[in-house]
Amino acid sequence: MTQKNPSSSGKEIQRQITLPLSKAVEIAWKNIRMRMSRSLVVTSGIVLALAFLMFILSGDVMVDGMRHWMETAPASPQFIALEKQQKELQGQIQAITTKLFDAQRSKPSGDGKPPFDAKAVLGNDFATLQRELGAMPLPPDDLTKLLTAQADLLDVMKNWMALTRESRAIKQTLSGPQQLASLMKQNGVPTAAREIKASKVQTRWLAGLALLVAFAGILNAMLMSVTERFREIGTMKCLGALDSFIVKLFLVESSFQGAAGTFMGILLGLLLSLAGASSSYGQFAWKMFPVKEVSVNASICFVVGIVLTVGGAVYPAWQAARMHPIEAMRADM
Amino acid sequence: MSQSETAPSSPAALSEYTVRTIGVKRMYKIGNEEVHALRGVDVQINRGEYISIMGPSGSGKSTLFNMIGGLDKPSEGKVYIDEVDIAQLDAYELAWMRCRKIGYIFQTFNLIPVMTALENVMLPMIFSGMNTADAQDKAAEILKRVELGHRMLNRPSEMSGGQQQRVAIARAFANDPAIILADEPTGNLDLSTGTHIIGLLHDMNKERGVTVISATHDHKMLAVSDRIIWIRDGRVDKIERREDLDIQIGSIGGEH
Repeated sequence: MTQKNPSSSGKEIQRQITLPLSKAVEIAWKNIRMRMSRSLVVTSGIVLALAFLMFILSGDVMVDGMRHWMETAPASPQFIALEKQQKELQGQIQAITTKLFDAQRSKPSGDGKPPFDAKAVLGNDFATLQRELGAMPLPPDDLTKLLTAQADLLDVMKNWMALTRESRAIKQTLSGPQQLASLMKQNGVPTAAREIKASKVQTRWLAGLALLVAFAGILNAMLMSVTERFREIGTMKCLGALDSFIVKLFLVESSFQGAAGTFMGILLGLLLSLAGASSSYGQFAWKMFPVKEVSVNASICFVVGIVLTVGGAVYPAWQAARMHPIEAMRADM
Repeated sequence: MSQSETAPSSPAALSEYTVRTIGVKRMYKIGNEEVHALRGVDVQINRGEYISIMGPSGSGKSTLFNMIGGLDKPSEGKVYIDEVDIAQLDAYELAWMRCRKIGYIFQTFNLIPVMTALENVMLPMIFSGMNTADAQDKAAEILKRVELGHRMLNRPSEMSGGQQQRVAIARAFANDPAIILADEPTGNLDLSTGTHIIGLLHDMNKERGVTVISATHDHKMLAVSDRIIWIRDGRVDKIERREDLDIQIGSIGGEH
């Protein structure tokens, strides 16, 4: 013997010392390393649970971001000015034509000014004009008559045509939101305010469900990893381990697994939701990526993952630590 | 050293008892039924003795054994280990006692599967607060003593039953305990390995003056025991000394 332990000869009973956390970390780390396949099973449960949760949450904020972009993007001042001008001109046309129409009704046609050749003035534009003005309140036949009668109407109309083309060109460049809106409709994502509210409630339910699944999965994994080591726990207690040390050991072990599993789960969930979004919305998924919201969600998921894992281990570990050493030994494996 | 058969009347001799039980009773409730595992047991075990507790299963043998090891508390009566009433101890003191005073050997070896032989033997020393370097030296020394110097870095799964039990013995001796409690130490071993283990326990008992108490069915144990405590129906049936045993060995064999 290198040293004689005084305890075996002394009569005095002392109190067992509390081992530092570093010892628990050391043993827990050894446990995880040695039982790699077992810890991978436990960890993969955590990964899946957290991936689900992260997928739901980040998918939601990404759709929110796109919706926000869709609502705000067309508000370019140039576009608004054009639309306004166009509307004014349209009103002018309407007013003049109504006036002309009334005038023409009261007067029999054929007398007065010589006929005005609209086709000659407008050239090829005339056909286009006719086509594009198809939605106007007057049928093209009447319009032709009116055009022949009134030259200033023609000016207004030409103006209106030019503006329409211009605004249409601007609209082409700003058409993203429209495309996105149609994509969203395809994917069944609501765009109306009331529907959005309803879908938020639905998302919350889904997230809650994901949380529940995560909790059940993690608790089950933790319970299993503790119960299959009852004998080991009993042995350690016989060798002089305090209850607190057993609890510490399992908490350290589970927090290792929890941290690793949660991290991987968040990554997996994020990747999945990104892949899903870019396959449904293409480039729009990246137009307004909500970095802040996604990182907030990731941190929430991290906390949830750790709390669930450690919380899931506390109960079985405490239960195991409280057990009488002989009961732990008796458990047949 | 082993045979301190002094009469317990002199006060000085009292301190020689490593374990003393006075009127120990133990009741369990199974459903509404009360089961009396022990119905009043008085035994005194001297320092350095090699004791076997024998008895059929269900006799209360295991219960008494657990009582002596501080693993269970009596419903009635007192258990003194080194003259300390274990019923008075709190969780910290019990843990300290299990760590320093008692070494456990189990039928199923109960080594920690993820640890090497060396780490298994070091574990009780680490629980006692010894630093790692000292623990390593001391564990290596004990492992050499049980002839496992060449297998120190093997894990239990890589060792035979006999080797595992020798690691367990080394672990039980790790903190130089006053008592070694061996619960059917040969129960899972074949005949020759069992004989080897019994011999090792006996040698270490003599060499270190440690009290060895074993619960067993194994009649090979009797040959090395200083005394045999027979338990039947929760009471001490008889206590035999080895000197008397030679005469009675025929009758023991005759019981089966």
